[in-house]
Amino acid sequence: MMTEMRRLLPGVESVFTLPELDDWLALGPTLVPFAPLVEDLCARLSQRLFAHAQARLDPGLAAFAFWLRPARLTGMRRDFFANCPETCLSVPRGVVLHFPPANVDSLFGYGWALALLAGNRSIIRVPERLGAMGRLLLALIGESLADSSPELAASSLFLSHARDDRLTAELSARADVRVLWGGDASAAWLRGIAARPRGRDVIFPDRQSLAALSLPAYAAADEAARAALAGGLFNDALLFDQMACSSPLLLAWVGEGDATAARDDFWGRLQAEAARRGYLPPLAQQMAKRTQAAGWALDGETLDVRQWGPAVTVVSWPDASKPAGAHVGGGIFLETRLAALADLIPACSARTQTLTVFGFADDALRAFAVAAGAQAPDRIVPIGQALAFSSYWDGLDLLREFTRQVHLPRS
Amino acid sequence: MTLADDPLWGPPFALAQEAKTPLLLERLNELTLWHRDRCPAYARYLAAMGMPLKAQSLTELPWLPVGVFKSHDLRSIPESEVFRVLTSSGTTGQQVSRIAIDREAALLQTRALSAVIGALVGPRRLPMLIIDAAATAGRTAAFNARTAGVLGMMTFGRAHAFALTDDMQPDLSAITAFLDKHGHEPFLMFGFTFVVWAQFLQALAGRGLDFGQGLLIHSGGWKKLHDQAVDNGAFKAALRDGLNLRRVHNFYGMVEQIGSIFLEDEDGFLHCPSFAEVIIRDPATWEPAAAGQTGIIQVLSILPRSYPGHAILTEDLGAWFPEQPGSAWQGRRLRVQGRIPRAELRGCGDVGGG
Repeated sequence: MMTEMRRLLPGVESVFTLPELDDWLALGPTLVPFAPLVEDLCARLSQRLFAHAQARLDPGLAAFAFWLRPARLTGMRRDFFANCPETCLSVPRGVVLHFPPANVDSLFGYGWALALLAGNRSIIRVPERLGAMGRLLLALIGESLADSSPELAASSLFLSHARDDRLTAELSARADVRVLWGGDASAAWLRGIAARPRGRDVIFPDRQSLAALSLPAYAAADEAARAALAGGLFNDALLFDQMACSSPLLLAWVGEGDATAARDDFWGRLQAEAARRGYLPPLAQQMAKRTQAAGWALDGETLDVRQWGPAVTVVSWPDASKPAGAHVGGGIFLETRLAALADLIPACSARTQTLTVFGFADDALRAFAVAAGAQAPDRIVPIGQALAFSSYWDGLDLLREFTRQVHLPRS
Repeated sequence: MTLADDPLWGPPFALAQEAKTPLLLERLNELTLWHRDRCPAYARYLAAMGMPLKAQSLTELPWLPVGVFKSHDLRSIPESEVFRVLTSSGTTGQQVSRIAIDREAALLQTRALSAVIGALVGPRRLPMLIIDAAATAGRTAAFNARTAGVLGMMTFGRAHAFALTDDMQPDLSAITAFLDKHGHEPFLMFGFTFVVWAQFLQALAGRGLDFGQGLLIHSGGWKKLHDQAVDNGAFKAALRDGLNLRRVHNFYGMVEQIGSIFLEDEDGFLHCPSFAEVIIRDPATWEPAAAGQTGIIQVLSILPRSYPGHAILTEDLGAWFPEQPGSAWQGRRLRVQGRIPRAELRGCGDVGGG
């Protein structure tokens, strides 16, 4: 007996079988990339999210609503077609099978929307222990789909089932793209289950992220800029207890100047921002932070540990290239001092996802990425933008991953 | 100074707080320097944390989080002097604490335990019923915390009997034989709190067995009982009603700090012995908490000389209470409320259920 599937959307929740799935697959032609009715659906979902009191107040859902706005989608569309050579035509891949993470409630929305914008149909395996905000998002997507054309309503299938490798194999055999967010162990699990011969896997394994601040720029920053920076780092690091892949662990002060004055000011502001926004890591996590910092001190990895408050533990990290391994999150930062941005390259590896920055010129950042080569992080964005989702993620252009290029050279 | 004329090694609950605090502070400050000079990792820790080498008060003493004993082998003696390695209990796959003690520390630990138990039981060794299986104390048993606890306590009794069979069921014939022989005079009982509750009391309550002369010492944590909404009061009431067992004393301690042996008196509070102390830290500020306020339990003991464990922050919650004037047992009192609840973390590294 295979595990029972339940269809959460479209329609009312009900038991769902593989023959029903095959009927669904036989249903519809796919759309074209950036079909107006899809953009319209996104715009209406954005409005629904903004209009909903709870969704509006949730940072994750509010950010998703913002991301779905027409202005944003227009930019994405222009970018997409501009990147398509004249001799090629982009078509959808077909059916995208999504495995979103259980613990970031709103993430499944992005994958679903991008696959749909690329013109695909989607099967979303909704995590069984979805949080309240995830359930709310699902309900609002359901309302938006119900209001749309039958063609669109049939574009998306939200399923729920307990873990069952045979069922995953059946679903995989019907998908053109599999998308998995979930770390190294989950990545290895899915890779063990065959995809279609032509199937494409878009897998997001465990990653780590860093931040770099220009010391001269910080010294020159005024009160408002410093306050904004603390607010930005709070969002980057602490909105998800520092457990998001793009939340920084190592923070480097780069360039000439009084690092002591800068860091005392900076970390004090971050703790104050955390207090102002009512962020208090659970006591067990505070203990875990102290224990992890103590371990590094006992080992001589750090020469200085400072507790700025319950949300901010700062551990000096003289050798930026030394990997710290897994960290416990909840506001534990490794702090290092570098003469130049290029000195950060040894700290980057295949695990490095996002570099958040403050106070560097664009050409300096480009030069850094060029010099880093294969070690370059996947994203270099301003501090405050670490969690801002983009269709460029983990080094991939997701809209390209979800489309095929039909080559049509002029005769 | 020999132990005989050391006031901290007198009767363990006789020293008033006022006299105890300065003596402890001096001894613990000495220990900080002792360990700094002998344990390089500890010296690095002190330097990195910026903690004072000479504390002005007990609350200023540099402490280690208890979790580091799971990840690090910390000792202030050469490997050749390690007499025994104590390990904490833990389920398979869990990391356990490893505590290196030398011959002297082992002797002091025995002396400390005997002083505390003696204060309750008296100098005479009593017949003893162990609420556990003989296999736990057997020679083939793995030397884990439970075995160590049973073996350690057995030295305080005589004519030992085991109340449970090797598959942890009540051994009715052994129990009735013990009661027939010793039930009319004071006798000692020892067991782990949850074992006493689940394997002993639940099976035997209401069968007319009379443990009226018994004195039960139990330890091992309340987590499983708290999950069943059983607190100390309910535990004691059930033992009284079901087995006529009226003298029941809880015991709080941890393998990571030898000498921290907190024993419950008739008043229902755990008491600090003279060679140990408790501090509670406010979970919001980590500053010392006022009497009666719930916080993180920190323990101090003058015994750990073989490893830097004289000041440890535990992962338990509790509250301290001042000594009661005129009470037979002097020193701070403690109530333990259980482990700090586990944190559920978010992140993007997890696809639920695969």
